[in-house]
This record gives sequence, C-alpha cells and structure tokens, in this order.
Amino acid sequence: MERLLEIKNLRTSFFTHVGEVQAVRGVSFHLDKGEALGIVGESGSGKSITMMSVMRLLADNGKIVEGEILFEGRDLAKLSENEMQKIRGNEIGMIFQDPMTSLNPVLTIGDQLMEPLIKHKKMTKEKAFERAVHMLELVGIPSPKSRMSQYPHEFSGGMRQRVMIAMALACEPKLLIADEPTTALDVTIQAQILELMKELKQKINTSIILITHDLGVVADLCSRINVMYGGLIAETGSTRDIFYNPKHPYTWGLLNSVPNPKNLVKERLKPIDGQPPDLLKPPAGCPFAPRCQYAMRICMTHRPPLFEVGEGHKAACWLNHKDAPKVEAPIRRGDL
Amino acid sequence: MMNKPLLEIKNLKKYFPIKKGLFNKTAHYLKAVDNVSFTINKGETLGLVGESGCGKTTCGRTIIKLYEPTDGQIIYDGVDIAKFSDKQMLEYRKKMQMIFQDPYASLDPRMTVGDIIGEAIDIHKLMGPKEREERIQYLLNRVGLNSEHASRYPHEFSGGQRQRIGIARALAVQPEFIICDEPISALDVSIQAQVVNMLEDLQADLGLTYLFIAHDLSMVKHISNRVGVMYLGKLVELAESNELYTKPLHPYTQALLSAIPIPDPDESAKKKRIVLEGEIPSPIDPPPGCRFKNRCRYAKPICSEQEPVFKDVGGGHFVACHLY
Repeated sequence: MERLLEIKNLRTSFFTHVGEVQAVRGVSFHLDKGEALGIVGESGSGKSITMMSVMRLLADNGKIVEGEILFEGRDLAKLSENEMQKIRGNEIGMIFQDPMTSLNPVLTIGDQLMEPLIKHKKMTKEKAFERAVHMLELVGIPSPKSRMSQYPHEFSGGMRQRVMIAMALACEPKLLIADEPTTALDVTIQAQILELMKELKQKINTSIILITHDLGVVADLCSRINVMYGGLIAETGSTRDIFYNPKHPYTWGLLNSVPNPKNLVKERLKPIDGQPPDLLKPPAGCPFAPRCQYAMRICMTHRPPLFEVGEGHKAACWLNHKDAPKVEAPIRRGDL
Repeated sequence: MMNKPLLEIKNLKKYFPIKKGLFNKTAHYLKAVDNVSFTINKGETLGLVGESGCGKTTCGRTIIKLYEPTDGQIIYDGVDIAKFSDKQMLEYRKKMQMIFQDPYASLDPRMTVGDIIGEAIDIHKLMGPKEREERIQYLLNRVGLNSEHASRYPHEFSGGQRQRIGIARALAVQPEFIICDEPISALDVSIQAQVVNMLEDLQADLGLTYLFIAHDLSMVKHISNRVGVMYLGKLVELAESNELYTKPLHPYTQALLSAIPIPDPDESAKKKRIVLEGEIPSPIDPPPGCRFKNRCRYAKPICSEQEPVFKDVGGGHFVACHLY
C-alpha cells in the first residue's frame, strides 16, 4: 500500500507564561492510502494537538519543536502558510471537535460550504451551490435548499456538526481528519455519520484519521489504532490487537472503564483512578506510572520504548521487557 | 423500598410559544414535552434517553420547575407541585436538586468552590457559619476532593473535578431526588466511570432517587433500574432496563439500540444496524398520528390517523405503538 502520511518523532510545545507545555513529546506513526486510523486517548493526551500540528493550525504560542510530517512526501512542517492554505480544506479536510464555535457566525451556512469549492475546485457559484446542497442532503439535513441561506445560530449542535462534516468532505480530500466528530451527536445520527464515513472511504478512497475517546466508534470504523497518553503513543496495533490482545495497562484500563451493553448482570465499573499527568512538568518515566497498579521502580525513572509485541503491534510498557514479571491482562473481553 | 412512587408525572406538557410579527402574536407552539406520564419510585434510578431535541432535558427541567409546565401534574410525595408559585416551591427545591450537563458552564467562575456549594445552604438558611463550613468540608470529601479546595475557583479544576463540585452542590441541601442531566457526557471515559461509581455510592448511602438523562445508552443501561425512551416530545417506551435492551418493542427503540457502537470489533462487524431513514420532523406543530411514522419501517395507515396510546403490554413494559 502507498504511504499517505508519515509522522516522524513529532514534538509540539506551547510556550505559556508559566513555562513550556509539552503537549506532544515524540510521536511517530504512518497512514496508508485508503486506511482508517483511530487515535484514542483522554483529553490532554496530545491526540488533538498531533493532528493540529499536521494541519498547522496551532495557536500562536504553539510550535512544532522537532519532527517531520510527510504528506505524500512533502514535509508539512516546513511549508509556508500560503502553501499550507492550498492543502487545508482541499487535500486534507478536518472536522473539528466543537461544532458550536467552529463555524463563522456572520456567514451563512451556504457561503461557508461554497467557499472551499469556489476557492479550491474553481467551481462557478451555481455549481458550488448545487454541490453544497447535495452535501447537506448527504449528511442528513432536512430541507437543505432553504437551510443554505441560514446562519449557524439557527442550527442545533448536531446540525452544525453535520454542516462541518459536509464542509470537510465537499472537496473530496485525500485525508480526512475527524477530531471527535460524533461526540456531540446522538447515537442514531452517529450511526449515520459513521456509515457515511465508511461509504466515502470506499468510494473515493479517502484516508481517515479518527480522533476519539469512544472505543465503540473506533472498533467500527478503523483498522488500526494508536492509543495515546501524556503526549506519547502508549500502544499501537491493529484494531483486533488493541481490543483482544492489549499489552499496555492504560489500554486495559480504558477497555474496562466502559460498560458492556450486553451484560445483563450489573457489574461495578472499574475506573482508572487519579488524574492525567501535568505536561508542564512531564514525568521522567512512563507518564502512566502514577496511575498504574503494575508500576515498577524503572517505570518512574525511565521512559519505556515502544516494545515490539507482535506484527505491527507495539506497546510502550516495561512489562513487555523480557526480564519483566509476567502479568495477565485483566480484561473481560474474552468472556463475552 | 422500590414500590412506593416518589414522583408521579401525569400528562406533563411543556409548549414554548413561537412569536411572530410586529405584535408578537403567538403563531405556533413548539411542543417540547407533550403528554408525558411516568412514575419514579423511591430509591430507584429512572433513565431517560433520546436524541437531542426529543425533550428529555426540557422534561427534567419542567419537573424541577425551572420551566413552568403548560399542563399536567407533577406529584411529588403526594403533592401536586405543578402550579406552585416560586415561594411555595422553595421548600421543594431542598428536596429536588439537579446536576447539569456542562461542568464548564454550570459553575460561576467568580465564586469560590466553597461559596458555590454553600449558596443553597445560605438561600435556605439551613445552618450557621461554623456548621456551614463543616458541611462544605464534608461534602468536598464525600465527592473525593480535598477540604482545601473550598477556597479555590472553578477554573483551577479539571472537567471531572468540576462535575464533582456540581454533585457536592446538589447534595448540599440533603435532597431526596436528583435530576442528573447528562452528568458525564462532557467527561473522559476513565473519569466517567469514576463519576458513575460515585453517583451509585451516594445513592446507596443516602437513599437518593435519580432521574438520569443521557444519550449514552450503554451508560444509562448500566446505572438505571428502568429506562424511558423519548422521541419528539413523547415517551414511546418504558421498561425495566434489561428488558428494554433485550426485548425492545418500539421500532424507534430498536433502531436506537442497534446504533450503539460496541467496543468490540468482532461483535461490531456481526451487528446489523438499523439505520433510520428520513428526517426528524419539526416539533413545531407536529403532524397527527404517531410522530415516528415517517421514519418507521412498519408504518401502517392507522399510524397517520391515530396517535398510539402509551400502554402497559405486560410486566410494566410500556410502549406507544400500534403494533402492540
């Protein structure tokens, strides 16, 4: 398969008045054409900032400190703002997390939808209008024609997110970055959107990077998963590896903290106690060590490398070292 | 313990007038909650699920009288509070509390955490300063925060911690009944489990009754004894939670359940999803008959003519559908 995106040792920091917040601390991964990759992690894990770095949409105080972002061979980290604008919205589409604030309140939905089509695809206004109406229809917005002349405040949260999705997909991008695209949506709409994304993936061979904290959503759409924690990749592997043979205690914790709807006997949830690390002063060792019940002495002092635990399956946990004690993964997936 | 109703909702309606024209003439009504009836027993958790705009939040807010009900009865412990004035309600506000959805917007950024939690104690003039202080400390510890957090401001806390502050605030006046309006949907997965476990512990220790409003169906099933499903201002199905999840009767419930993403790739691949076609009709002057008919796979002529009655089809399983 052809490589679409390759990220090498990406480090992104924010320089604030209290110091450097190391949001992404050395992340490497790749994405092939037509592939769907899930990035799972909690808020503050660096999953959104990794993708914002790819889009070069960091806040003014944010900076890519180190690393390469190769998109079809070009290093996006080194492109000028002008060159980046030709890529954003055209070759890489993005759906943002917050539908309430990511639309321009003083432009109509129609204007905002038509803008990328006129700008990137050089469509005429009439053609762009037609395509925009079609996109709105595709994402399930009732009476799309009359909706075109309305403003974002006239749409509900779910509706706005659908407009965002329509906008991101309008130019049929090679890569679609979806940052928690369905978090604000209802399950039936989420199901429609996921089906839509699957369909698009097949039809126009769009590659997808899906950032989410919902394990159910990645299980459905993605073939590979990166689990992120504290600005680092904790575990990476195929969806089956991550769900059925996870090798990192954080992944175990994530899998155990969601209720299984198939379970008829009520079982207490097993949360991960504690709070995520403060990235202003990132820990020297494994970022998960303070919350990890299996933490050893080495975990506090040395950051674990990504151990190869299977084909294309890696986990950054010292438990996978050959001299480490053997620990049975406490996951209850097997007894479903 | 479970059989005595604490709260009986009878034919509750909440219509919002839509004004038009120069003289603000009421042209239409948005029927957010339309003829909803259910009971909540003492000590139980009733889940309320549905899509955004189905009226579940409005229903919760009307029950606690943050909105004035248009019609219907809200019988709390034998007393109909639907027509009570604000002054009469004051006493009931101590018994009924609410936990809000957005932990970032529901705490006043200019008040200390101590004052946020203590505000209700002051309003109801429940305690002297020393007692109040102790109560705040106790509540903070109860929700897993430190006593010293009382002098801090909300922005110093993470989402999960803020939601704990919101819970402490709700508990301040020792309520019997708490409406949890999407209390966990803004939180991270691992933090969600912490908050849900805490809500369960509080319920067991303090004998609380919950109305749990959410759109995360698997979490609602986990926490609730019974679950009600709302669609476009109507309650369409209500049953014991395992029963509802294993034997959903209403076509809408079936679609809703089939849409839950399962955190298991093999199960997920096997599953046949009922993807709902069509559009959600506007709650402004909804069409006659069943409100789900234009998206329903089983719609018959009768569905457009007659509104289905919300009836018990056996064992406390209520459904409003002409199929049954």
